[in-house]
Amino acid sequence: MVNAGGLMLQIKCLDKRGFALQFTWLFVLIAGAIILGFFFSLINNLMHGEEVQTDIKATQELDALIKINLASGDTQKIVLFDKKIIFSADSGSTYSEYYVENSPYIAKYEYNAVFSPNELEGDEVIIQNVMFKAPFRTLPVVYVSNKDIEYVFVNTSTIINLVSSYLPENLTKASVSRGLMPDYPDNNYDHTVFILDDAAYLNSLRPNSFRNADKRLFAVVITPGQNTIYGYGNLTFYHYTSSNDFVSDGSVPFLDLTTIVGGVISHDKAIYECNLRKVLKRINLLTDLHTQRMRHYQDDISLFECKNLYQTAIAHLENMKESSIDGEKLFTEDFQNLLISINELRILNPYIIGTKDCPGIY
Amino acid sequence: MRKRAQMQMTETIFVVFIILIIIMLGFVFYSKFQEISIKEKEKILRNIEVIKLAHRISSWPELECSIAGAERFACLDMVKLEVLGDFINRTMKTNSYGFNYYYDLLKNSKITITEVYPSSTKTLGTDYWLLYDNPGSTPLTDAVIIPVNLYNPVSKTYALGMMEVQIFK
Repeated sequence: MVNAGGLMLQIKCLDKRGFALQFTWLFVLIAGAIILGFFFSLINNLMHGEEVQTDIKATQELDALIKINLASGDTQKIVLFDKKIIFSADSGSTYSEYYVENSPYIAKYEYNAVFSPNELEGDEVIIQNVMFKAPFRTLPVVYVSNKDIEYVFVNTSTIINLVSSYLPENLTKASVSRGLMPDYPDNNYDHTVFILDDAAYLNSLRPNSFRNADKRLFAVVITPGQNTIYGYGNLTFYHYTSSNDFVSDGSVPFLDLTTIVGGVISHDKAIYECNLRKVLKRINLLTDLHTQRMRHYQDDISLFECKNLYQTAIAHLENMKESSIDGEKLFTEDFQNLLISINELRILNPYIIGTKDCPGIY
Repeated sequence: MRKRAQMQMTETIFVVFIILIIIMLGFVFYSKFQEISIKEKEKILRNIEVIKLAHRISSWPELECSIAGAERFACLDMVKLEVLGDFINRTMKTNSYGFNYYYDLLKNSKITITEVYPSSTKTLGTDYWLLYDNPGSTPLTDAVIIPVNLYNPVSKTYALGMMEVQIFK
């Protein structure tokens, strides 16, 4: 009996131990899973955080390259950048911004003229800056593009050849005659931009072989003004639609080759117009300053010989100031007036400095 | 024996505790020292940025010397200085595009240019120019002084000047 009792106790103890063992294993599994889950979640969050940090840093680095200062000379940089950049602008103002995809950091640039397509994706970014002169040094204009955008120049007229030669080096350029334009092949670039001097040839293109033509095909038609090849005129922007047609997004004036190239590189009406307004505002600001300076020289008795010349310069500068007012709509006539005054000042300044030995206009 | 063992254990615990305190104190002092060193380096870097800004300013189209159409490096035109200083001062109160343009470049800072040779009377508009006066509450940098060439386009003479730039929070 005692033995049976002892055995029962032993069995009971064994049961308890077995149960305890099972419970321990269960506890270990559950607790282990929770701890592992916690660490996985932590690692995931850290990795995501690091990615966001990298994107923010990339935007900041690009910022330093794009926001060229007023003192810069004409330079080109090719930067290794494998993230997608999205640009946007308000065509009615000087507000524009860009950001790297998935980055929460948005870089705004209200005073820098940066002509770029609305998005760039590739392994590298080509950044070129050129000083815009009117005729005095005004501001550096920045072109941002990459080799995955193809610029196709149609026809070999003077204006087309000029723009083609002025386009930054290292960009993908091609030339095609009007006759061969209809069968232009799809070379698999992100965007293909046709640059023409006559919109009539636009719809002769048969882009059947272009995949996603409505997202990849664009055109810019250059229409010079009267008595000039590239001094002033209009740029008309087109994009291809799914109804097998090029549709116009509207026309915006241009002033000088610098802005034509800006329009070609951006092939986006809103981005082009926004950045053109920045150029106009800067011209407006500088003409105001130069006018004040000319008045100062006019009042100086020692410069009486040049008084009438300064008066002429003031008239041209005031004309430029009037023509560069940033209104709701930009008019081609204003650009024509700007060009006339710029050309007059270009002749007058060396005459004042060289012949009359007086302080120059700029 | 048991009491002796207990005493030794207490002793060990105290020793470990004191060592930990010494290590923590050491760490605190090291951190403080590092913080001071980093702040010094930050100040030096900010001053370098100020010098870069001063060099950039002298290349602005609205300030640079232009002699016979050629631009000169680190040279400021006196008449342009006066005109730009007046313009910024005038437009500061109106919050116009003109002032906002320069605010975007210069933020909260104070920039003065003083002629030191041949004239140094510190007369506003003659040999002293307050180019930009938009200070904040706390200076972020020292007042950095950079020598500049000053050109008078009327008399066609040069003078030595000092550009003083200070950036604020």
